[in-house]
Amino acid sequence: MSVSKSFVCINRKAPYGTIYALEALEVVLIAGAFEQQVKLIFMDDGVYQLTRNQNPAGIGMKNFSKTFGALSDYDVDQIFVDSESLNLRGLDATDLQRLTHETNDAEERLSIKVVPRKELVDIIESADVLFNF
Amino acid sequence: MATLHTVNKSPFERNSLETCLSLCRFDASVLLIEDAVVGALQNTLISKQISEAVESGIRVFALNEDLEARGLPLSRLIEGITIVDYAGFVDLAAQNSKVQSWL
Amino acid sequence: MLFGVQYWPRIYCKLSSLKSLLRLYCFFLYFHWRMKFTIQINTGPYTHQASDTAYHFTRAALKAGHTIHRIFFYHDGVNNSSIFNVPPRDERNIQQLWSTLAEENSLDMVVCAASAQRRGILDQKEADRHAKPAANIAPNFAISGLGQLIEAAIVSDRLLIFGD
Repeated sequence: MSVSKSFVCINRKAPYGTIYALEALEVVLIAGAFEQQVKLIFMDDGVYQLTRNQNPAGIGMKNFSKTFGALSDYDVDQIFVDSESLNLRGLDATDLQRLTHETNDAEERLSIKVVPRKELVDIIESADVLFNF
Repeated sequence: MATLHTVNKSPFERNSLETCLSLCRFDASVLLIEDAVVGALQNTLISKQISEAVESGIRVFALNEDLEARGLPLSRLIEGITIVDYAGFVDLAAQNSKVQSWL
Repeated sequence: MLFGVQYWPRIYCKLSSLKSLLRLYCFFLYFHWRMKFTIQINTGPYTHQASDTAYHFTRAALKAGHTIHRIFFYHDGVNNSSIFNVPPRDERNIQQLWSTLAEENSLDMVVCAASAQRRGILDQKEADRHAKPAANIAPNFAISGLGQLIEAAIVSDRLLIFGD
């Protein structure tokens, strides 16, 4: 398909308690496979999806948080985290996974950007299609 | 072009309406549907925030069928909120360039 | 934007007659008011209102002359497609409402394959493959991949999501 749209996926739900986080990731991977431009926003309880050291073995579920590391293979390398949501939950950037991607000149860059809420307005407005999970 | 934001959860149960209002641009429209219509009444925990949004130019709507279903008194809606039916919902979705559903 | 300010001088020059003005107006109306919608439904019937809201929205959109490119049932939304739902007679039958609306308007209703398998929504082929006693997908629903949602989002003017 030749048409390319800008997708923004807003994640606001914590992982494991409901399936939304996992199925949002599936949407993002397929959109990436369709070669669409995809940006991710994590805010409200969605910030918990990105925490390090998740281990759901004890609850009998798959650890899907490892899949975030594969996002750069699909050129999904713009991940925005709402700083206000982190603050309200007693978290900061060091609690989150370290996700990276390579630039065209093989330089390693961080994929996650912690931004103030005001900056999210422009990211949302830049989208052609908005997904919310 | 502008964005239509839809909210379907009571603002007294979840923060989706609050989050939505904090991310609305000046030209946005917000439509309250399903349980979110309870947020359209005056003198509630959220009414001040909605009034401020209306004053800043954001257009706020509530779905008539959902208001009626819940027996909410239309005479006590926050000033500036417009009532629309499903046909009006469709028009709003068409007039704005995209729809953000705050689930 | 087709009718952005920068195009106005050029369009204005071309308006030599009333006829072309009328044609321009019709063109404007057609492209601005006939929309292609895709509807995504994330919740099953009865527990949440989302499927009902989506149904009323879809009916209103069709009545207004818009096109529904696809209705995509995702997450628990796949449960809307089970023909084994038997609600009391004096209650709405949500699956039947959708099947009938699709029949009358030739709607493309797609049930996400991965979500459906997890929740026991099977067509005959899948029921046979997994040696299950029966298929349960209702008429006018089709099981397909998540790619159908992305494709629909790409080609539609608007995507509306109804869910929890």
